[in-house]
Amino acid sequence: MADQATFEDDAMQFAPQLYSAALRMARNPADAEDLVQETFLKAYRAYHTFEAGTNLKAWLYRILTNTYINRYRKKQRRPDEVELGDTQDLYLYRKIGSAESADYSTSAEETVLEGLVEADIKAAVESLPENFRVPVLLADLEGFAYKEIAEILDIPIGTVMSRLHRGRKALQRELYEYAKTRGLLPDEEVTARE
Amino acid sequence: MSHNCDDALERMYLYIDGELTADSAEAIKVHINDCPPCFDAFHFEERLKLVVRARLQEEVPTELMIRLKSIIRSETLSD
Repeated sequence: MADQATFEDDAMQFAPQLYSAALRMARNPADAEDLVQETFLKAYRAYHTFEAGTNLKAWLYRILTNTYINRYRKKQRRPDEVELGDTQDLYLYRKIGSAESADYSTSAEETVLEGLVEADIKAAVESLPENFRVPVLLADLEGFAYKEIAEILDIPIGTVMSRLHRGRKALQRELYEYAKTRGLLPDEEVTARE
Repeated sequence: MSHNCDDALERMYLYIDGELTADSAEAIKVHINDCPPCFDAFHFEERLKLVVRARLQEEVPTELMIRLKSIIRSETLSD
């Protein structure tokens, strides 16, 4: 059992990270701030049920994602479980192709990785359906292990792996579109890897 | 594409996410160090994960931090 008196000292350090995730979930700052506030209020009130010495960060993310998912699903007429079309593995990498840019010091891959700005990556993540976006955020933004993600989302580890895999492929498809718009790609149709 | 390449690519995310046992991770490492196409593909995916993480970081609004503290303190007082 954790002591409520130490909640502020224990939990506040995670607020900035929770906000980064909340903003990609809610997709606007006002709702993200709301989400983080509600998360901390619920966490404070339930802190006596938190087992001291276990994973506090994962516990807070569980409250955050539950709060988000409950709110989000209330707003949806047909909630839940959107499917994604199939995308090949290594989508972005294969699309970039094997062509090196004229400047030999920079590979075509680095040109894309360096050229995709914050706004592109944020928009691409936000375009993912919620059931894929949340596992991708937990793994890529927060670095949680699959087992932790399974516990946070209360889904089997196999489901975590398949959503993460498909979510990342869909993310790459979006990033490819941004890279194309920004002119970061070599003549992709000609050089695409077989 | 050899059988080793297929096997490595199939477990690429497990490898990048640190989800493999030390032995399995080592076997993949040996393969990619010996196979330039796999090395490039793995390198790209690892870099992409880092780029995504770095560019999703947000500055938390100071007012939000202040509000969170005052919410906790007013809850503490009402206990």
